[in-house]
Amino acid sequence: MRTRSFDVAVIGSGPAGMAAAISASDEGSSVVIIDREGRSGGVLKQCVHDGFGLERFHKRLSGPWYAQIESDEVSRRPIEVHQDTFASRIEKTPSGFSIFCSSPRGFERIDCAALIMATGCRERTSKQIAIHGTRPAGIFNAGTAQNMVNIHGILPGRKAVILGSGDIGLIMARRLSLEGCQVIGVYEAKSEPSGLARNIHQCLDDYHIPLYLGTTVTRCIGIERLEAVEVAKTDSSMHPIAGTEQIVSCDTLVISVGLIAENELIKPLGVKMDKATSAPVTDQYSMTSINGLFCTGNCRVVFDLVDTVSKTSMICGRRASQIARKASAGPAVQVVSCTDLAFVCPQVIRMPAGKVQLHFRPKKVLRDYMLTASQDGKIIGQKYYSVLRPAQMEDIEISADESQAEIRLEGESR
Amino acid sequence: MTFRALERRIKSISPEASASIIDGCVVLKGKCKSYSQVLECGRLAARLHSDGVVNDLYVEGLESKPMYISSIKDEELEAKSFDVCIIGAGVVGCAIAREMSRYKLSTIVVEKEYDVGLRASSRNDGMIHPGIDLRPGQRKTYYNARGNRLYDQLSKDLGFDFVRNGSYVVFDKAWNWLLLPAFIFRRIFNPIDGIRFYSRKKLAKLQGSVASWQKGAMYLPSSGIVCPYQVTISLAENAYSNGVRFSLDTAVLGMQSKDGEITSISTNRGTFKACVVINAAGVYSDIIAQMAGDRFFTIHPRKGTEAILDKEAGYLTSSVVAKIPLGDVKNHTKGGGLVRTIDGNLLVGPSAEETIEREDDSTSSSIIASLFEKHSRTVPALTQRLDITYFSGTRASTYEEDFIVRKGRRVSNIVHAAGIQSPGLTASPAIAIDVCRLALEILRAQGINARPNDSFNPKNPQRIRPSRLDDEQRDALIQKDPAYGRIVCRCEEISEGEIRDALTRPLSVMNMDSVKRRCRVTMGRCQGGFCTPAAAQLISKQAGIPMSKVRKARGYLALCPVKEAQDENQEL
Amino acid sequence: MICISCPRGCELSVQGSSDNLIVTGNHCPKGREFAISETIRPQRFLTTTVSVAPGLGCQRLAVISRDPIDLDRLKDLSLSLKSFCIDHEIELGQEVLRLGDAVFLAASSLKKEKPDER
Ligand SMILES: Cc1cc2nc3c(=O)[nH]c(=O)nc-3n(C[C@H](O)[C@H](O)[C@H](O)COP(=O)(O)OP(=O)(O)OC[C@H]3O[C@@H](n4cnc5c(N)ncnc54)[C@H](O)[C@@H]3O)c2cc1C
Ligand SMILES: Cc1cc2nc3c(=O)[nH]c(=O)nc-3n(C[C@H](O)[C@H](O)[C@H](O)COP(=O)(O)OP(=O)(O)OC[C@H]3O[C@@H](n4cnc5c(N)ncnc54)[C@H](O)[C@@H]3O)c2cc1C
Repeated sequence: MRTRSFDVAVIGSGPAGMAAAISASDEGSSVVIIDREGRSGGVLKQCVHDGFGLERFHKRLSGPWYAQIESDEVSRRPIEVHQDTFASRIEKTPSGFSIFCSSPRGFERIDCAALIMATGCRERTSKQIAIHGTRPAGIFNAGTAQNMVNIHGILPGRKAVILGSGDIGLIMARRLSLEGCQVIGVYEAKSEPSGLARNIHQCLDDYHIPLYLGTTVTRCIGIERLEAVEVAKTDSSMHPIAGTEQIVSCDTLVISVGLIAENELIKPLGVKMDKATSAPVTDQYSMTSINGLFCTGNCRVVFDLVDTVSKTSMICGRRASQIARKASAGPAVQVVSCTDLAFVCPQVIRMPAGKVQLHFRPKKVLRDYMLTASQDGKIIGQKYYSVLRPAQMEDIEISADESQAEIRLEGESR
Repeated sequence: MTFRALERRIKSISPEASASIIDGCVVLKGKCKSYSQVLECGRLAARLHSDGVVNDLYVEGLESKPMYISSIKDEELEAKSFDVCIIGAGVVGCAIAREMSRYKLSTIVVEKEYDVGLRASSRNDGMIHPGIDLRPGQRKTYYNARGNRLYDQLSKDLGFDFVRNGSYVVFDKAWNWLLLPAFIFRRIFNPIDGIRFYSRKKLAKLQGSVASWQKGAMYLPSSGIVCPYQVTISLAENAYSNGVRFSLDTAVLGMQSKDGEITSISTNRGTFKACVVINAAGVYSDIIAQMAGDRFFTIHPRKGTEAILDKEAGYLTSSVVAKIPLGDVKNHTKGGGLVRTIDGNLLVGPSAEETIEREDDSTSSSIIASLFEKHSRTVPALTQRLDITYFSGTRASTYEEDFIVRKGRRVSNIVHAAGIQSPGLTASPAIAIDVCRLALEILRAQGINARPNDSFNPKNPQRIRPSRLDDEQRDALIQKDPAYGRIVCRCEEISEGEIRDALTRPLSVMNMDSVKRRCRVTMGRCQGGFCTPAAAQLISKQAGIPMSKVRKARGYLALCPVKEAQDENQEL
Repeated sequence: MICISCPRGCELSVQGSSDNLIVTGNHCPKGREFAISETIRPQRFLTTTVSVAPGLGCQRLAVISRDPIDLDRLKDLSLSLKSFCIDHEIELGQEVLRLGDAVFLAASSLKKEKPDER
């Protein structure tokens, strides 16, 4: 069995992994990227629509374009990229980590002093949101449908219903319309759309696709291929209301009901998890509770914008390189969220920190909101938001001094 | 109960219903107000201990859906003739096929679905039951005990996974201990290997996830688990390799007979002859008996729903933790509980619902919720959050609630393996031996003396699972064949090589769900979200068909290539 | 109308006649531009994929229009692109095809597969 050794190993060559690898390499570390697929870019490869890179490149790039810029940057550096390589298992060693990988070249071990997980996320499935009824062909996750159309060039169906008004669902509604599939409508169990307002405008309104709020799909009907779905109105806790069922004929159901961070590989190492993000607790450099183990991009927290993924991953890569060369992590203080927020990331701050961005989402729509971060009663950051929406990730900048007291977030609507 | 008493009670349930005795069987005719009345009458009739219950009671306006018949229509089997025809490729039909392949006979298995083992045989708990809750004297009990013991050798020969991981039957009330003498007494008639009793303290030590208020348990080490469709497929593969012909997408639609003998069998793929017909049609076995003119029993379908939990929940138990099946006796279930599957997931269930539908695979959220409710009383940490999917299956129960393994009553060349409800998976290898013997007797009576098949090979080609090898072995395997290194399904860690193998094994079926059942691709926590397109592409390559012609199960996965959408759009 | 220029998604309103439009609700000049073009002549970038001949590493190439295209032409254009197939190496950003006055650029590069790869 072949064994190789690097300062920093990155698992995943999506935007997060590539950005982290670039900055770790620039910091002087030897770096390897491991990716399961035959081409770099992660999920961006299939996001052929535009709107990426507005913050970072001030341009409306499409997903593959953004990915290509990044992978060209990677190839300009002495970074080894192992494609078609699947990280099967990770072990903690005295000097760092061992990754056991399967690839057509063999089963090999890669040792590293610092490990960056950039494995992205997976989608919730129809079963996880309790869609019942029969099991015909024609039920897809939005990401799967996107992959079929954009990577393989096959159309999942001719007449589609979309469940979930998150951005991926909205984008697929437009994409399927453009490819000649009739999109009957987008159904959303909540009373508010989950996606950005601009996506409702350019993905649904442009193509005259109706959006049904407070409505969900409850049942699939069909023996061979999907023939129809049953939809029903929902109450405030998103449960279907009996007696409001309606049958909508369609041959395809596309489900876009949320993403789950993928961290199965490192859970066995005993990393501390955050219930709110369902991902590891990380510090401002994306390091987990295990020294030298980092977790960045969508497997850390599901970001809206790839630009933020790249930005936070650059910070991560640089730090990983330092930790690989035995820099000390510094003492950690907790960030204590407030009840209005669904989560805050990072969950801990290493001191001394200086200026740090905290990312968060509100639980519900909040207007005229002032968020304050304090330590020992001293205000270390404050920001006003005219509106906060769960669909949109927001941030607040804090500047943490040497104090070892926990950082408290408090907010109020004015 | 006397026949008179039965008549009276039937009338009191439904005045428009009547009972009669025809040819030794109780025949119920007429109308009921509800399906539960139909069931009640049928159960009463079974108490007469006649030769069988034929329950033709109906409820106005209540009709079950017609049987699924593949849209394929051709003359594949027209005018052919076989020594043996097995109807149904469930675990029972496939086990019989393998037994028959030990003889030099022309044997055909006809199955209405696109693959073997799609009905009850892929929709169950996968438990190799110890048989504790079965009554002595029943055929179920007899075949379960024999079948259970055959599994060790069978799994070695056929290469399917089998573990005797034991089961705990938990006592939730202190008085359950009073049942102990009854269990011990039963053992005299129905020997169960290695049974042990654990106190509350010992139970807490062995199965930490069981609620502390439980009062102890009975431990049955002979209890085991398998993957039920892997068993069925393995049996079919072996039968096929030993010369049995399988005709899939082939539904038996009728039979012609003369002088108490079946002369031909009609299907959507032609009409053919067979010297012996074996009825292993599961929930349709009474309909097949009727086609043959030999109906003496009635199937009342009983649906069971199960939830599958993520491997993460595997810590809850590595065995089976079941409730003592007291309250469930009248429902004839095994009480259900938590079953650790052979692949490390956890099953919760099954439920037991009487239904008129023989093949309704739908599920409902209320049933799933009730499963969690029920079983979290035994294992409090159980949570629906880790649920990755769910399914349902239908048991082929008769009113006698027992298996039927016998020659026809009125027809000389049929053998019934019917009413094979739970624990049919466990029992199937033993049932197959007897059915084979009966079939040979019939053939002999017809002057056909089957000789042993000298080239019979009891073993299947080995299944390669790189992720189960140690690191060095795995590396060596990949060096020899790089396809075993390229991972397609990330959740289950299935390589391209394994998918290719699934597509080239004996009796392979070029379709997503068939490949999934053969190598677990798309079966993990993302449920194919990532690997569906890649797996479909491999199938399309191997089968030499475009991606848009790859089927998921019965229906097409995708409907057209993007390129064609435009032309289709103009047509619409 | 909702501005689609950036993720912020400002809610814009437009008043006045076509030669003198007054835009409110925008937080930047881009919003004003968008509101005016949206009122007079709504346009979008078109992103889609075209097929790729075997041997170039993938089956579809993502493309993006160089300039915004009239909204009501998007669907027809997208469907017309289906008959195109790329059979040579492509650089990122290279012009790959032209349909009337609409020019499409490659959103990623295509390289011939090395013989040892598949
Ligand atoms: C289906 C889907 C659609 C999306 N659509 C949009 C959109 O339209 N607009 C938008 O702004 N954002 C979208 N996003 C989110 C956006 O793309 C992400 O913010 C960004 O791609 C996250 O980057 P990442 O590097 O964290 O993860 P990814 O891009 O997912 O990259 C993870 C990489 O890790 C690899 N990997 C995972 N496990 C292993 C392993 N065990 N061994 C080796 N390699 C492994 C994967 O193959 C993959 O290449 C979408 C996300 C998903 C899941
Ligand atoms: C929820 C549930 C849990 C269970 N758990 C267990 C367990 O843990 N352990 C255990 O031992 N047993 C268990 N069982 C029982 C076990 O699954 C069955 O006894 C066994 O699978 C029956 O096998 P079979 O071959 O008779 O039936 P099936 O698998 O149903 O096969 C019958 C076949 O005949 C075909 N067929 C029917 N009509 C026709 C026709 N006209 N023409 C052509 N083909 C036809 C059908 O398509 C089907 O494939 C369980 C059952 C259920 C429902």
